[in-house]
Amino acid sequence: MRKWISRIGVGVIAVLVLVAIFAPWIAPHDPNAYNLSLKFAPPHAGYWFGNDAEGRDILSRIIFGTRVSLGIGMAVVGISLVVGCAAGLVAGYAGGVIDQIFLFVTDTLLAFPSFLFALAVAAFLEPSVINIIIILCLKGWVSYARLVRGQAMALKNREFVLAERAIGASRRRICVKHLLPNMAGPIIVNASFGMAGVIMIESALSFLGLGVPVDTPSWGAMIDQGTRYLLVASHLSIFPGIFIMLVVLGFNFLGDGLRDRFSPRGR
Amino acid sequence: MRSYIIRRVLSLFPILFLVATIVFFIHHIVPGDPVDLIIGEQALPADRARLAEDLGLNEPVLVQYKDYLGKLASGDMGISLYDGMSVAGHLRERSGATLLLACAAMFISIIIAIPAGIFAAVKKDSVWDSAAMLAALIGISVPNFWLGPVLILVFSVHLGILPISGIDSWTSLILPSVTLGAALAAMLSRMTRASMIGELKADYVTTAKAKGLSPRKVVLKHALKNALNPIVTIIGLQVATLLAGTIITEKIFGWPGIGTLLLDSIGRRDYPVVQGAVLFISFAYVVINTTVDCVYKAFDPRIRL
Repeated sequence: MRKWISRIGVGVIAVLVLVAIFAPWIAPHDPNAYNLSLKFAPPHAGYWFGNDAEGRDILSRIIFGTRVSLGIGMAVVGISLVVGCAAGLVAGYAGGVIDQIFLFVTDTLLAFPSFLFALAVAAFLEPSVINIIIILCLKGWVSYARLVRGQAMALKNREFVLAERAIGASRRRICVKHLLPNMAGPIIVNASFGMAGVIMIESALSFLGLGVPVDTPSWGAMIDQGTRYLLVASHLSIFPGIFIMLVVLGFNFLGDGLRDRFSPRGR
Repeated sequence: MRSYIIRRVLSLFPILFLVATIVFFIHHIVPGDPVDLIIGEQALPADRARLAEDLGLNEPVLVQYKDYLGKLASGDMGISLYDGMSVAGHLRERSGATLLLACAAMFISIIIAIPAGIFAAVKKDSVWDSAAMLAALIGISVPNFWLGPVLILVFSVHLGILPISGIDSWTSLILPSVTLGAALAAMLSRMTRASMIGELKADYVTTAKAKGLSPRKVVLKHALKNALNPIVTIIGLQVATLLAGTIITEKIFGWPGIGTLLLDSIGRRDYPVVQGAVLFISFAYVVINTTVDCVYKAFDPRIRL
């Protein structure tokens, strides 16, 4: 059962990644083509998910929206991972004053709820994909950094590290070649749940009109438009929501499966 | 014990100070002139100058920062640009509704999640267990800004049994609190299940069974009491998260709380109120988390400090 859950997760994510890559070839219509004669049309032949308030094809917008969600998710998790690992390794390995400063900065950032922090910064910026990536990275790196710091502190006095030091290996070599590979498991698990979290917050900001620019096909923004016409055309918000759920579910399934695999008790 | 609590309470002050500092600088570091954001670049120079004067933007940033902290210490968060009312007054007016919604969501998620978690643990590896845990995984993954509209569609539009929005009667509390509490319920049921499975394996449970207690008593009187400890902690820590989570739920249901105030003020470019609301929620988050931590440590005899 457990094994199957993570396989389903991998399957869902793989399909969505392929959809994102091949979006222009898969999408049946131009996602931004207006067609007012089809305004609010319910699902029908040629337009399987129906049309939105401007008559645009909802399926095509969802397909292109995959690029936005996964792209922002990967960028944010990627940047946060690199920054977080670097900061965590330095703090955990060096200790002392550097570690104190590190704890001070991360404690302060952790004092804000993630969504509120993103919302507070987004309120003062123009909506754009780059801005949203920056906003989510501002706090995103902290969880990886804390994780890596803890692991680095636990590992740095183990025999294999001491042996490396004894033969004169540089700090950088020890960190990159020995410490990082030994903590890869929990980092990957965290990254998988992190993708789910980032995609959720990005959609939520776009739902509030503070995420990606208005015409970019984004699932969150589509739900926003849908809720305004909920009584007239409920299909506007139903379909994009299902896709957010699928992708978040996929990464949560994957994270659960990976955690079972990497944790010694799970074997 | 007492020294631990004193230490935690004292450590609140630097954190709150830093939170206030960050909220101030988010406003001042982010590119873009606040005057442009509020009245637009085309406004008359005289109007622009007056607004800048009103906002204190002509002073050096550090002077503004000192003013801001000084006023904040006495509870003054400034004046709304939209209606001239004090920000603190706005927050006072709205906080009750937000608190009500958060408590209702907490209540609903507890009465759903704990029985579901116990049931799943007792019937471990059965179809019921799998179904409950699948529901929980879906609950964690469903965005509340989608769940809300779907619930409205089903219960208000099609079935017509619950109101769409407003705060007139207790029935109008049901949909918002389910929307807000769904993710928490999902998480709690998973926690309850895991914690119960651990306890049901313990020796004292075998003993209780061996002396002939009914299965019901074994589960509810013996195992559950011990399993509840970690669950209660999580519930406490989630109070604060729920408070932040009300923002979107309030928007969907037109709930007149701090979340709606915050989003409306972002829309109106009423930055003093935005700043005040962000500060209020962050402060509440920090203070509640610290309190829960202290209370938990005070009541659990296993934690010796």
